[in-house]
Amino acid sequence: MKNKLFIIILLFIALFGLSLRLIDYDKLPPFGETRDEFMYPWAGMSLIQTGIPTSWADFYSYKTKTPVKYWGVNFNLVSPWNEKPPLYPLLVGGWALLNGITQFGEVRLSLIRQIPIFLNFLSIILLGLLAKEAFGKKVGLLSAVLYTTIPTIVMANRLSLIENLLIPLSLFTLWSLYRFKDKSFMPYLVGLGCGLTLFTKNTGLALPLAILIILFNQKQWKNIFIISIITGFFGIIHPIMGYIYDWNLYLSLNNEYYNAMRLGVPETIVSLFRFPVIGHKEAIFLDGGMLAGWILLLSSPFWLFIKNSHSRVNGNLKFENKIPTFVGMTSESLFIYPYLFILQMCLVVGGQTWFGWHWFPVYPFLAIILALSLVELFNQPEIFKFIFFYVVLAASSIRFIMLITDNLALDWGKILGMILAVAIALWIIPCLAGRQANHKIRKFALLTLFAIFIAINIYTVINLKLIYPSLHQPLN
Amino acid sequence: MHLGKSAFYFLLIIVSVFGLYLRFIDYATVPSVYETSDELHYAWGGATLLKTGVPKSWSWFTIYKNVEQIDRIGIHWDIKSPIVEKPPLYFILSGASVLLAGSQDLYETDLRLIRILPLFLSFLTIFFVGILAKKIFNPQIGLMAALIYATTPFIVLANRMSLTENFLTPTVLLALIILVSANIKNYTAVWLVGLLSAIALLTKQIGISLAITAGIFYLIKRGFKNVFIISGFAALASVIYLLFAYSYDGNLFWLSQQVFREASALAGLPEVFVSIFRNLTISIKSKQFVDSTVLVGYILLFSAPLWLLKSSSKDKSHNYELLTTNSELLLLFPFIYLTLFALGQSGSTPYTFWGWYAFPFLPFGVILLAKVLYDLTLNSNLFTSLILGISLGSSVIQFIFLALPDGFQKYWQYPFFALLLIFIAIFIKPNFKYQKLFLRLFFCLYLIVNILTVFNLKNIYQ
Repeated sequence: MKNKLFIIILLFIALFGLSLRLIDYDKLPPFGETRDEFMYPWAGMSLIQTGIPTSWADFYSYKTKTPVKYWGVNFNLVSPWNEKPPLYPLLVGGWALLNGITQFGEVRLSLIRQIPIFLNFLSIILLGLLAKEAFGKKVGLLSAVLYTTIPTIVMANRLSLIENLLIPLSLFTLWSLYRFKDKSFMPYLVGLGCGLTLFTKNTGLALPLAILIILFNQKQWKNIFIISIITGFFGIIHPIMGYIYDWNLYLSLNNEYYNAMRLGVPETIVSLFRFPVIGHKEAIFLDGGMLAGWILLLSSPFWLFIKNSHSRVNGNLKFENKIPTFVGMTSESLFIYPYLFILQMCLVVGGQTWFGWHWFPVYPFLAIILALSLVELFNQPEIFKFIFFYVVLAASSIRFIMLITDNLALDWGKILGMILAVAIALWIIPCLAGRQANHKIRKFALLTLFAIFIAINIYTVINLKLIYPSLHQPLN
Repeated sequence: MHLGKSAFYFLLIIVSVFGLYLRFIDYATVPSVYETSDELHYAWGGATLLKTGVPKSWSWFTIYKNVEQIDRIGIHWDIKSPIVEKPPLYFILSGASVLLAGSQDLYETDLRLIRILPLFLSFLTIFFVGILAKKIFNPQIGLMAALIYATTPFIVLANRMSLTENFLTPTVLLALIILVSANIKNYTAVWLVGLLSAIALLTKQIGISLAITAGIFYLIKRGFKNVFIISGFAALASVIYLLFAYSYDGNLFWLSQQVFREASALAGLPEVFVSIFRNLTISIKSKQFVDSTVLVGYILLFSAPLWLLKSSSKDKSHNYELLTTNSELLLLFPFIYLTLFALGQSGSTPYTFWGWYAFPFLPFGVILLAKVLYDLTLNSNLFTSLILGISLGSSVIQFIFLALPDGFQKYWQYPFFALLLIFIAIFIKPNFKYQKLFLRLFFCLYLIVNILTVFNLKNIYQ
């Protein structure tokens, strides 16, 4: 596939993803999914208009709170609001002002959600480019298709939250690192990306750390220095703002935030599976694509990093060479970022405080790992791999169909059974008959099943309002 | 470290005895008698069958016409008969063990008597876990797997419960050990596997997974006579169950199977696989017991096709492409069980998924966990070590802080941070000597915390 064709297909996928995200975007996820969506435009609008950020907050550190009520919901306004770095508030607040919004009560979801949707249009393109850079065009396009169509990701991409800026920034930065690794401007571009990430949210720290680890392993001291300086420059802006507005408040807020997040005992990895949500713990949304992605990502160190370092004989490791502790700037090293992100979250978050959006920055990497494993299944269509995807993806797709068509009496066991019968016919029977495997037929079957999976995902996205609460923002 | 055969078995017996000891701690009260009524269901059904010739017990099903009432442990029970909804073997074993333990009451509720059977079975399970892991991989992995299985708090709790899965599990493990060890021309072994397949089927309907596993294994290896023997045993078990049911009421049996299907597969959406990961519980969905060892085991087990089975490991000398390695055999049963489980149960509603449905996966997850821990001592990798550090490390920290007074919980981040920092520092550059030492120390810490948690279960498990 030529580069031009790749770009055209990627753009087409991104545009299609954009159109999927625009379906009922202002009411799904519903008004009230999280009040945080209003926190950022208010902070940004007031910061631009008055030089002092004002928004709602419930932290005790704010001594003075002004209760207000918009759209039937109570908010406590505080000033100076300084819980998080200002980049996203400035972006979304600026967009609101550009559109003539001057009062907090005039902010509409239909307007502010345009920002994350546009950002994720960029994310789809960047994801495709990054995955192509690391693993080739096939994985690039497949990752983009998965990210575009998995219902959880589509819904997550509509929420006007900081994490939806972290995603394109981190993808752009990693892509720049790989794409321009031999260019002299690379460290400046990557430094800018790292800095902006840190200027977006504190948890963005995982990105510069990951990049520094990659460069450290290659002893690129000059680049490390440049990137550190630029990142540090952006990283210090938020504390300086805190110092200017109220240093004690800044420290107290950080402490309170930190205490709120660590409640309970460390159960983060378990909670990833227990609470598949895009918002609050209670709003469970089961999605096989996401579950498969998490299982594959968490198991990926066991299969992604080892294929070139040693072979396996009869299930046991056979060592051929001295094995590096971790790879340098190779394809797999891009996963250092999501691993560090997970590590960071495990250290910060306990078992009680749980918000689905904290994990949005990992979603693109779930799509990449899912794409990688699907390509591996396609290249080596083995029955055990098939069973894994069958149990998680086929069951999930049938579940979506049942929910949307409201045909809960559907005998899903028969449909799953038919797919299994096809698998038995393609995998087990040739084995039993002592015949050589016909991979062509298997690949055709896998492609068909994959096409059905994607089609059902799209159908689900189009009909999300039937299976996920939707609610318009009240007019006043 | 070389481990001789006798040393291995000696150590394995010690581990199994120790595991048994751990399971005996507060075994009648943790989990409590209210954890699930199914334990009583089997004991009552078995005791009445053996004493009166008619299986009587409580049942969810409303199809039974013969109903009598009793009061036990503060609950009013509708005792129904004849209970034919499930195969009779575990009923008989449970009832017999209770009667042999000296119970005079056909509706015994004393878990000190009822749980003797699963405790004994768990001893066998630990032993078989060690042997199977040794046969598939090596003796070190065998011992590590047995140690993890013996000490993981979730598994200790699970093993105390008198449920069919705790009989099915050692039965399957023994059959797999025979399949791995014996030549396909060894017909004594084949008959034994056949017998175990029949036992599995007479224990629970989904026990057919074992016969399918053995059947596929022999079929692929061209052991057609073996397949015939296995099929014969499976058919015999089915006939025994049918005869048993028909001797009481054939119509009632078929009605019970229909109701069972409606209550399991047709009661909700297909969510079994999701439920396995979402519900770390030994019983009802709402009663979670977070133990990361179990979750890591599931992740490793279900992703194993990607990491354990590499095409490079295939033995090309065979003209078949399946089951060319023992690793594949290790996965064969859990994947068949999972497939049937996913086809036969919804898993979406509170009564279509119970924690014990997933018990048969536990040994396989533990064996694979032992395998990756062992591999890590030979081959350091920052990422594998970090993933294990995060998951098992969080388990260690979680259990330590659950044992401490509530006021200390807010400090969990400090030791966790220190632990992960050590992981990064040790694994960021190759130094196998220190990495090996650290891993051994960490493994010891992990086991010690697990053991102390088992002692402390009465305080942290309600």
